[in-house]
Amino acid sequence: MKHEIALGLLSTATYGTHTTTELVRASGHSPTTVVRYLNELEDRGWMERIPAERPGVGRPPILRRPTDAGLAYLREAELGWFRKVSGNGVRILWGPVRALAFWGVPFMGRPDIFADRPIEAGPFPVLVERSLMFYEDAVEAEDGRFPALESLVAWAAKSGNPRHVGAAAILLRDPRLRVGRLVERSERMRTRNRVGFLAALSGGNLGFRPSPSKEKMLDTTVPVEPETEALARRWRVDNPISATLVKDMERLYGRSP
Amino acid sequence: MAAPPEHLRAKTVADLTRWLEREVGPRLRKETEAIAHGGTALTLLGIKDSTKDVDLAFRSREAFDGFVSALGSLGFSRAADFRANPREVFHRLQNPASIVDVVDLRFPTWNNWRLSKAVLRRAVILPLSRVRLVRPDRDAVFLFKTYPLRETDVDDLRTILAVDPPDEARVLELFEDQDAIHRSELSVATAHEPLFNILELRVRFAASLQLLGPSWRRKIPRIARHAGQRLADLHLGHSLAKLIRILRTADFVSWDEVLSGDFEPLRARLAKEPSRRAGPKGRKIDGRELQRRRPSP
Repeated sequence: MKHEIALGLLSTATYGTHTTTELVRASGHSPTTVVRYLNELEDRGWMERIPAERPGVGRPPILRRPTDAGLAYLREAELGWFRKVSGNGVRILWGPVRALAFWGVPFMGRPDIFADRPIEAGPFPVLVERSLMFYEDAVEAEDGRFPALESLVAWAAKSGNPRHVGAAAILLRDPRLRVGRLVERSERMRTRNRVGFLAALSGGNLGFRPSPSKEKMLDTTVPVEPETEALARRWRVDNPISATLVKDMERLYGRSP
Repeated sequence: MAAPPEHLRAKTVADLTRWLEREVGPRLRKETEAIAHGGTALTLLGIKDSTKDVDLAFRSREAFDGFVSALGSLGFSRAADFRANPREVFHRLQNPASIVDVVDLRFPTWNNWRLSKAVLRRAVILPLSRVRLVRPDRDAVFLFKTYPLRETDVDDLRTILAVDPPDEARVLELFEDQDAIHRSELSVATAHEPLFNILELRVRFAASLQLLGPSWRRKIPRIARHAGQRLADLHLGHSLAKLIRILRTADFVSWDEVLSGDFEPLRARLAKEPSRRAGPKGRKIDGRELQRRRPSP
């Protein structure tokens, strides 16, 4: 049994609810290979079947999901993979899904990693962040290394993902945040205006002043409240997120963790 | 810097299904159907990550109340009642000590979507103790995501297009199914105004397609064309950009004002409009055929 294929199937079944057919499609392997591996994982006590149903016509599908033992094995294996890919001179940190949870804004989803260059990272989607400063002052925990809070906020503000941008607005009010370090990170990662705008949007003041160059927050324009539009103009930020989204996120996660 | 005082773990679909099966299910008096919506449905499909709240909808008041009561016995308390849509009951329940700590429950619809046979035809039902968790298919979730017009929902639509593009014929079939349900209510006595549901459906569908941007729209040309056509059929006399601004920034959309008070002619026209389909077995309908099917003004 190839470890990589087994881990891939276990991971897909943990971060989604999939029928056998869907697992075949998601894995990219042949149906014979997938079924053989699923049976093997089942024999080892790591995977189980749930007979599901369909409201419409058709054969009832079988869902595959990890057992408690399978989940424990996956968590160990993920950490092993994380350490393995960290060992080749590449700077690696846990990506937004785990890092945002670590700093108090948990998401539901598949773990990913930050790397300073494109790499083959097994079950993890890779987000390339080339700024070396991003990897400084990383926090070493039992289950791997996490970006410093200031690095994560500076990155999230420029991520282009509205949920991550909203999470940055929440983390900006975290009492553990070091403003001096955040200023430095934001400068070097060219995200100063976006961070300043987010702080202003969530009612804070970091003592920043906008830099002359424009910064783009989201990929496309989505109409926002007139006050937010004015604030974004003042901070020279194009395509800003709305105050409504930040309020929604605050309502969900609390104003500070 | 010191490590954070509290280590929070990212949540997984396995956490959610185990929580439903081991904690919620045994506290329900009888089998209860819960339909996954929003980000929760996308995460169950393995398409993308979502915020930590779990979105569930119920078709019967009994199921909704039973679920609320089960969560109450697990220490959940009501955090807020939102009423964006006056005909929907929306409870947010929270319990910071639980692995799934925020649950959003709605009844009898979610953002006005009717869970018709067509919508549920390709769903999968997961029996988790007494919870029957309904996971809608990708195409239904794509359509559902065209309603809210938030930045996050537009981003979700793009992710679906990038990761697992929808079947255009099925999305159009589902859209027309919803449209036909609302139009069928125009001629019967209802507590709500079905015309406003049609306006919400068509305007929001077209608005989402607009907000996606041209490069993403090109990936689903039939859907984009159909959305534009269905909006144009309404003859609202407002630009789509203006309607998007109203829908995105107003706390409450007053369709009376948008229609300048006189909506009886539109109501009468839509009540007579024949149903459109995406074509037998998903056959493509070309512009000429659409033209032929459109009722004369």
